[in-house]
Amino acid sequence: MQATMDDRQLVTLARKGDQDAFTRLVERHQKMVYNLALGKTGSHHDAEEVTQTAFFKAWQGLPSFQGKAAFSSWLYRLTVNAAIDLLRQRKKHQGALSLDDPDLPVVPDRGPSSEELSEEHERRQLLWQAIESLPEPHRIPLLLREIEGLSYREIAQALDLEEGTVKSRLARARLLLRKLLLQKGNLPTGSPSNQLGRKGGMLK
Amino acid sequence: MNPCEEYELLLSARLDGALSLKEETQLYAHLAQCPHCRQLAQELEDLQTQMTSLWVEPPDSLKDALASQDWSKSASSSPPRSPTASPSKRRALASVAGLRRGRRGAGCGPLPASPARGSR
Repeated sequence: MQATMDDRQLVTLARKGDQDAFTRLVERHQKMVYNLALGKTGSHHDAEEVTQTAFFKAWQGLPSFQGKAAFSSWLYRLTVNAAIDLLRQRKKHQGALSLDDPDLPVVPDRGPSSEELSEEHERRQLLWQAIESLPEPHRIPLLLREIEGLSYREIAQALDLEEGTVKSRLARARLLLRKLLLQKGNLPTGSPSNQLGRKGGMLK
Repeated sequence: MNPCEEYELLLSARLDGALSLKEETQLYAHLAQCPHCRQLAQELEDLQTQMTSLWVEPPDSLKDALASQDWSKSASSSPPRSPTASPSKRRALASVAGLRRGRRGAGCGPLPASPARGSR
């Protein structure tokens, strides 16, 4: 039943103390929150902490959440704030760590090299910087579509918009994001195709 | 007004698999004679590919910990886990979370698999 409820209905239940409703909201948005946290902190360890803090703050803040903004927009801000707080704490404690500190991150012994990880981190950070500079009315529909895979109808329900508005805001968001990334030279582009294939909607 | 503006909307909808047959026909007819929109189509596709390549799934240990969190008992002023929990502590917490989840019974099972892109 709760699986088919939109965010607004789940928030109403969660505000009354329904934990299952809140857990459903967590399941629905954890990927967006985690990816945003990862983009802000650059560390999987920190992203986990930020994700937990953001949902914790959301649960705590539910009584004062008026629902004027969409839950996903509010959660986005909580995540950004949690990431900023954590980075401030890290900066404060920088230099206080010693090499035998048990809380130092473990260096993985296989998988991508540190160079590859750092390149990926840089690309991720630049992408999130560009996403953050999008106007909020365009940013949230884009994240709900691209990360959470919601349909136009589901985004419209979550944000209380018409489907046509969702469609146009997504287009605007993508065009703006493309422009921002091109300006920063961070959009590796393939050569334009002269063979326009239709299968799967791909040009190539 | 930019003569290609209406096609920009269609190029975005195309990425979502949301074009009607009529729109698709119109768009491809336009693309066949507009190098600007062909370039734009390619760049928007590249943008989506880049984004998709950077998204990651949250770790299962985190999902489990969140799914089994007793939010009503988290009314103190600090988050449920220490911000400096070590990897070993986190592994222990994750395994406890898994056990707790198992005890909660029906309705609290693992997360459903994400549906295929564009299928929702």
